Amino acid sequence: VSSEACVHVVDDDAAFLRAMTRLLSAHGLRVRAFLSGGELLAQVSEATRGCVMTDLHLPELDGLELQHRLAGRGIAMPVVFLTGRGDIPSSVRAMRQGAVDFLEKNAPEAELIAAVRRGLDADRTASARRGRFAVLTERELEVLRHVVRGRMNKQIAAELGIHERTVKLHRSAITTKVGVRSAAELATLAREAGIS
Amino acid sequence: MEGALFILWTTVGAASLTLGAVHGIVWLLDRQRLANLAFCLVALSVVCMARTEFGMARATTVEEYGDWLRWFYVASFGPTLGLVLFVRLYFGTGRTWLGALVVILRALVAAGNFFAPAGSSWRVVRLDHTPMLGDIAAMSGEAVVRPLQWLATAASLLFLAYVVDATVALWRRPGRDGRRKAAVVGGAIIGTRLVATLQAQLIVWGIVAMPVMVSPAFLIMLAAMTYELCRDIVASRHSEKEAHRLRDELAHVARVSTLSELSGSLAHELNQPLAAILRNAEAAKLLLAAKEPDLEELRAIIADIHSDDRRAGAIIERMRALLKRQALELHDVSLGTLAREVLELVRGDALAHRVTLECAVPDSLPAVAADRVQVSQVLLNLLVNGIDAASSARGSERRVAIQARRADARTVEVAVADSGDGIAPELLPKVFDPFVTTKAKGMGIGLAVSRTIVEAHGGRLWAQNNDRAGATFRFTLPVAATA
Repeated sequence: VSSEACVHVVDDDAAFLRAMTRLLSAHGLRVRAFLSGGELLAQVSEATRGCVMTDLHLPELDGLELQHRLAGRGIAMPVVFLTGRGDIPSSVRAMRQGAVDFLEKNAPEAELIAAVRRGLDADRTASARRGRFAVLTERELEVLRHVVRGRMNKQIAAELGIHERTVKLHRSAITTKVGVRSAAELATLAREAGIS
Repeated sequence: MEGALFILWTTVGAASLTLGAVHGIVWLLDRQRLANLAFCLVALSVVCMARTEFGMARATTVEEYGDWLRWFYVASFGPTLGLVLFVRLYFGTGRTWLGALVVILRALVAAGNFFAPAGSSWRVVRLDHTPMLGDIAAMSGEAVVRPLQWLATAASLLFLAYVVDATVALWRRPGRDGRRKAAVVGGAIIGTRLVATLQAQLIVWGIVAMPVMVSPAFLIMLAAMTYELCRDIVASRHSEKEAHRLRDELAHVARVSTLSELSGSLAHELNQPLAAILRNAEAAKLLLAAKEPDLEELRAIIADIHSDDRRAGAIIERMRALLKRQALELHDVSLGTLAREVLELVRGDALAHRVTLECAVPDSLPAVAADRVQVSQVLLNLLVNGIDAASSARGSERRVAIQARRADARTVEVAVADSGDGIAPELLPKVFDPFVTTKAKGMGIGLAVSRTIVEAHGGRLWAQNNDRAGATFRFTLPVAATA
């Protein structure tokens, strides 16, 4: 089930959580509901597809902290934040960390659904891009991360303790496997797939 | 069968006794009313004077007359002492040395007449029995005046000077109240004393033949003094009422100010059920558009909308109660319910400040006699302060806890503890003073008003720093009579 894209809704208010679940389900979306960030963290992995919709203010683990922990565990699901009132500083921080949207709890239905769909789309695209990189070996991925950061072949070789020529071989294998023409294109694609 | 004359004395005695008792009780109920105690002393002395005058008037022999006269001098010391004190206490004016001099002279006269052989100031050597107001009254037929009598006369004149001086000083003070007091009370004392002194002189010098009857004049003076004292008590009732009204008014202002501080988080608290209703309604609309609507789910949605609406309504009701202006009304209140209701109001605030709220108010606690709104206000105030302290603390822990326990058979103690930085030692004795605040906004009346409210309930509110971190505010409330 976890491989299917779901909206992961987190809210400590059981009544609101139920209502939101019903609405999203009625729109034909798959929904998993959680009463706390901790509950969500316990049930998702890197392989989990979809997006997260969370209340910004939660007791114990709040929305921003949840977003941070998800990223820390390599879970790249986009996050839609909900709030009872407009918190500008929090919203700025959330957006910087890659939040898809920041909405009031009573935002118009269309906006809400659009934000969720955007989140799901973003996850699907990113996941598809990651798919293009799935053919790479562990070593090639490692080299790729350095390339994305703009390192020179010599630096990468020193870092990984391999010959500079081997690095070049890995790089050409990567471009062939992913199917890009230039190093610049590769870097853009890798960044879009969340490889850094 | 007694005639009018003897009945007059009995009546004067009884009336004075009653007045004295009333003012004695007033003093017993409120020990700060020392003027009433002085009045009581005067009134009881008048009773004794009336008794000794009565005794003299009914004396059959010169010796018997002399015996009563000795006691008369002792009894008449009482009004002098009482009146000197009364004038000092009630007028707040009068020269202390003059008053003291009067008392000393009068004490000498009383002692001289009591301990020395009978009649050391004025000795009656022949008694006349004359019909008067339906009775046969004994009175001086022939008497010898001794030097000590001059001292008595001097004491009387000095006493007059003392009262006149105090009355004039009171009259000159600004304010209509002082003038009326001076006219009524000062005038009555001066008038009575003049009559009494004049009468005494006329009898002593044998100019007028009549029994010694000073006490009836004193009764008139007592009536004038009572009139003023009663006015004072009524006025203080009024000012007490006025103080209560002001306290309720101030409590209201403080409540409104606390609620406006909380308005942001209260809006959040209200938005929660409202947003749930909105989402449920939208979901229901979509479900109804289906060919075969899921009735089970729709029923569940309607039930949720219903309960969310009630939730929002309860929050509004609580806010409305706090915003209402009303006088203190004591009812049996369950602290557990009250604490939960107040926690609902600050939940949003705590969440926004990432402060954890804890509540340990056992349901087994007896009900307290309290004004629901005003005690909510105290709790609300302490919680908001606690959240504020906990969220600005240096420590990592952010916690505010309410606890309640039965302190003794008649008291419940409530504690609100926070994990903040505590109260600076130099501020600790001042936190309950009005307009003392550490907050950038806020008037600094919250704690002052809270203390007034708790004290109006007959409880105490105090603060202390915790051993570990933060401060704890504690207050007590009386257990309800029915609990």
